[in-house]
Amino acid sequence: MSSSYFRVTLHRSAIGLPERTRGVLAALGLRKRSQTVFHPVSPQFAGMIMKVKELVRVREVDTPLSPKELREERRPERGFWLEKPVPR
Amino acid sequence: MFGAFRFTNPLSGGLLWKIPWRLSRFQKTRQRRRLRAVDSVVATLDAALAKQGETLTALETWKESMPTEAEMLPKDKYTIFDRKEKRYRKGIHKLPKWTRVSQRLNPQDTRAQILGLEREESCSTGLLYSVGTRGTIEYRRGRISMEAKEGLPRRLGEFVQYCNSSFKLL
Repeated sequence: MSSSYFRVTLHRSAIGLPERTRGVLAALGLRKRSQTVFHPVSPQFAGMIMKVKELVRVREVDTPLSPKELREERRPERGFWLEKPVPR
Repeated sequence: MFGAFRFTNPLSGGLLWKIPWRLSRFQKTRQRRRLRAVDSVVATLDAALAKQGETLTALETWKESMPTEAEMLPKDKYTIFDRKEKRYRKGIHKLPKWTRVSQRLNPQDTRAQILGLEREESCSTGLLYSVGTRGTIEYRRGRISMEAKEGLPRRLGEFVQYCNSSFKLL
């Protein structure tokens, strides 16, 4: 069986929400908005996501991304591209 | 005249709240979007677990009891039951943290309960009707009885289609 992962992004802040809800976010490893974490697909993690479903965005992905790859994903386009490197 | 301590009606004492009694068009749009976002999270979880052959009680309960955004009535999307309110309804924006909590179910309509009906809905033509347990349909203006049939659709959307196709409204 191929393992897959939940890609969970905190979309709404939990400020002012009950301690239990914030505890679930802490357990998922979500500390601030638009932070993304990966967790294997299992009933345990699904239940935790279910508790905070109003606050997060979830996708199912095949492989988790490293922090570096996540950072690359967020990088805006450079606005130019090299057609041919200039010989020096 | 200007600034934080200006003399405005809400600030000059007394209880004067400037919270509109109903949602604006744009608030309603965002509310629907939030409802759909929650639906999509639930759908994602469900699909992912189903692939692994797992189940989750909380997920099953949710799917069983909670209507999706498309299935909900506008009444339930934008208002909430309140026993102290005139006509028993107030705007959902009066609910604390209303953008971050799931509030989809309300007590069943009393009129429908008194009549012993399952639910009371408005169909696309704007008339209110109720679906009885034995396949009777009652309109608010007058009553149309229909013979109980075996193949009567039980789901609301199908039922509305069925009604619109098989009745000529009086």
